[in-house]
Amino acid sequence: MNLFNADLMELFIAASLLVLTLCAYFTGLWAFQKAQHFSLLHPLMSSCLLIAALLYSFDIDYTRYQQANSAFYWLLGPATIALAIPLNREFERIRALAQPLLMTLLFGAIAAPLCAVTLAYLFGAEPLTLLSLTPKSVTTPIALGIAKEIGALGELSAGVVIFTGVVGAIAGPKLLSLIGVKDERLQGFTLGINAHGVGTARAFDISPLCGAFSSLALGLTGVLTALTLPTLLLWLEKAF
Amino acid sequence: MSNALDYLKGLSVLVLFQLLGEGLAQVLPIAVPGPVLGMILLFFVLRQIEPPDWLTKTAGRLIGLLSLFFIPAGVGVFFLPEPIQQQWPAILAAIVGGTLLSIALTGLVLKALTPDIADR
Repeated sequence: MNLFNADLMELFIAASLLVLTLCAYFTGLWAFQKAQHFSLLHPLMSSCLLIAALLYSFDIDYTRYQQANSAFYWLLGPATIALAIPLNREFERIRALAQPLLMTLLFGAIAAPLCAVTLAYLFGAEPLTLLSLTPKSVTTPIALGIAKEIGALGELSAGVVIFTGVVGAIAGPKLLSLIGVKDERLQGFTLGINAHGVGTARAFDISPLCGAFSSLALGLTGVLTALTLPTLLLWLEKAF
Repeated sequence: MSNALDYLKGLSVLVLFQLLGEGLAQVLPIAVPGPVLGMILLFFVLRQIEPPDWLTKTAGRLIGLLSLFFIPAGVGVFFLPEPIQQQWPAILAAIVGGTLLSIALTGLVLKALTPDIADR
């Protein structure tokens, strides 16, 4: 009887943790809309903060929370596949810009990890932390695969990836307009290179065209980084 | 009800392509993640046949919910091991400074390569 109760309790807690994510997400969205899309209130940031605060105050293990929410994490897979649809829809307009886009991609896929690692190094980060920062601009499922491949700390990589996306989503479009990149196709592509899925979600807020360019950059950056980063790091390791 | 059925059909197709992608990832000699391969496969299929409405609808809905799916992993950043937590200034510098810097640099490169459209 006791055992049954304990199982039931487990199930109840797991279900509550799942509902917690949903509630935090909708609270975050609601606050964002109430604040007239004030960009620092990015729904992903506010909901993560809210959940972390609640987990701390109720003394719940992160691992437990993560296990209860694996369904959401799993849905990232189909959501990545879904990006093929806007990509296909805007393909002709993408093809018209193929050459500058590919060149920028090559540059961005190297610049993003390099900027992060250099700054973190200046602020005294240790080697494992630096290594875990390298896949930061790549979408989470790919970043986790890369982290495993290069021996980085997966939890750190995942967290850094997501907040990189949040920073990109918050500041990206304004920063780009400021430096004279106002075209929504170019803004989308830059967001996709630097801020992966979170930036792509922001790009779809701007326009479907912006979102399609962002999807393209997200996919290409993911593939390119997955193909090159492990080998690149291996060379660097040998060189130093 | 037909709405729910549409989403179910759409999700099934997307999951099918994910499985195809994962399978292909196992066979290929290079380490490309399954979902990305699945996306590429679906893209090539869509070049041949027009996507049905229910697939477009499901895809739009899933893309709209992307932020939700990132939450569980995002919460993890507040629960890192102690020695890593102590390096938070460096991590924050990389996340905020590094991201802004690389967005600006990438944006400038793209602008230089597309002088006729960037500023409109």
